[in-house]
Amino acid sequence: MIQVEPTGVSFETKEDETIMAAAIRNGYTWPTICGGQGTCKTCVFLTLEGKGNLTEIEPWEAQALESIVDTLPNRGQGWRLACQAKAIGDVRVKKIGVRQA
Amino acid sequence: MAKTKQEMDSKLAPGEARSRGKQIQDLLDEETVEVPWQLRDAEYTYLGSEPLDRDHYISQEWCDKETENLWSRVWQLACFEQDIPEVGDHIVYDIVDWSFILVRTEPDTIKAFYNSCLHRGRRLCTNELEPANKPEFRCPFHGITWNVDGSLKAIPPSIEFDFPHVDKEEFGLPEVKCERWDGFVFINIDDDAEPLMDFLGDITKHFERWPFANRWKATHSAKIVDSNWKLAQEAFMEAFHVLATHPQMSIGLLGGDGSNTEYNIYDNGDANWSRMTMAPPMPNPNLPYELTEQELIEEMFFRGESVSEMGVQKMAGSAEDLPEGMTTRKLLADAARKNGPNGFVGGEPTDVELTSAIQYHIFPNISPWPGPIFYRHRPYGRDPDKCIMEIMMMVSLPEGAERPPAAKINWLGPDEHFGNIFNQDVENVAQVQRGLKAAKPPGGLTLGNYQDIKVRWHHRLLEKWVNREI
Ligand code: FES
Ligand code: FES
Ligand SMILES: [Fe+2]
Repeated sequence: MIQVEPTGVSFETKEDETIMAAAIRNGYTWPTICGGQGTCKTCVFLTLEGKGNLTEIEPWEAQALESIVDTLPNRGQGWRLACQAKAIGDVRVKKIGVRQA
Repeated sequence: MAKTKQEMDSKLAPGEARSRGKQIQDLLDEETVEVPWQLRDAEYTYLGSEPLDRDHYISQEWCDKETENLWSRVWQLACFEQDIPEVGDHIVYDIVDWSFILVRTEPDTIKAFYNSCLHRGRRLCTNELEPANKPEFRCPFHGITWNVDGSLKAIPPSIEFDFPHVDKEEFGLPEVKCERWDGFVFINIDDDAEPLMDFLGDITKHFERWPFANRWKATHSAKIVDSNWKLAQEAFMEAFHVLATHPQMSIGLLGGDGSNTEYNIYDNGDANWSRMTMAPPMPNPNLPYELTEQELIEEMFFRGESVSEMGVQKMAGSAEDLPEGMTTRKLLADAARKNGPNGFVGGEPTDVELTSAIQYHIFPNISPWPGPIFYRHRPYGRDPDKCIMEIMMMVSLPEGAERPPAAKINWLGPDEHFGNIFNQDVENVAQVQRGLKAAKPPGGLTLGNYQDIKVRWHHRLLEKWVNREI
């Protein structure tokens, strides 16, 4: 299950489904401009708990995160792209702009 | 001419389509202080959608034509008055093969001379862009010396016997046309050039609101960039590359992606200046749902220091402390207002002036901002693949403050950068230069009708100069 602060919304993800895709399927908003291609980086979120329950960062996502590292607190530590990361267990994250669509 | 699908669907004429969301003029309608007429003077003319010739950037022949027909005749910024404040101060300005000495000959007189000895032609001054004060110009080759006003001072006595044919009265350094506006010193190689003020036109009235004369050149950096001078300059002629190139800008794009930028060209594109105004941070209208102002503010506080360099945190401790109805752009405007805006005259600065990057361009190669940033882009000799990019900080001083000495030029090495955002632009344009040469698809380059209008404006004027239609 994914829980999103500060709104507190939560939803389940299916196997092989990105966090952003799961949020939208469950009727929630998630910021995106590129629609999930991993290019706009607006979907970026901070992991609060359950870091180990996220799939590995692939090179494409790593490159994207690197390009915005300067605007992320803590030099980007714990930040992921919701259109790339998938969950394999419970994760609690912080993302502004996630709510009932 | 074929219409785009959007134009056919919506019955808009070419060039009339705009991005989603509020435009700059809508934001001005919401101002609580008087809006200066300059910001309402927002002309745009559709100039067609013909492809742009790649040769403008990569061909040696075109580059040589620019030298012969543009740089040889156009008004160009040589230096600032504050670079040479005292009588005798001088500075060298180079453009393509030419070189000039700008010198203050009297407290209020600045002259420009060709930087070339009348004996065998050696460059007299070699201190590129480094201001210096020497009582004379002595040629390092054989020692013939001129006064700072250009008149001959002396031929060394030991060699003077050999120059009986020299009329000393007539042996002054040849002058080049030099005129000034608002603290800028321009030169023109063409003796028949129109007066500078006629060339500049109405931009001089626009800048009555943001005068330069008493600003201070606080920093001045230069770098040799691997692209044509026009490409480097065009990195600052459109803002819709922000989405792909600078994803970190504007609060990680939740605060806008550059698509709501206003572009202005004047007199149907014939004016020698243009402008663009980027929208301040506001909920990005390209998100698939409506982000609220409250969410954007929360995002700004969440991102912390990295996005709020203007002391926003000091004004309001957290997003929760903010008054109802506060917007991100208002918050940033208030913070800027508190920190002292950059030299506005004739009233209170508007929120748009305080939170948007407003960038003017003067043909062919300088970009003054109402804010402190200032750019100049010059060709690197006759090499179409390189240019000299300069960024200066021109800050307004509080009234009555004494101006510190102008910053000297700081040349950045190949591995040194102007800063994060600029570096992304520099990397782009070097790749564009290579990409332009990598292929020659038929038909040239495809520009946007509205957002690329400044690029089109610039090339259209350039073609007129090169073809001697101007
Ligand atoms: S949605 Fe654009 S990068 Fe993830
Ligand atoms: S998308 Fe603009 S140059 Fe490729
Ligand atoms: Fe840029």
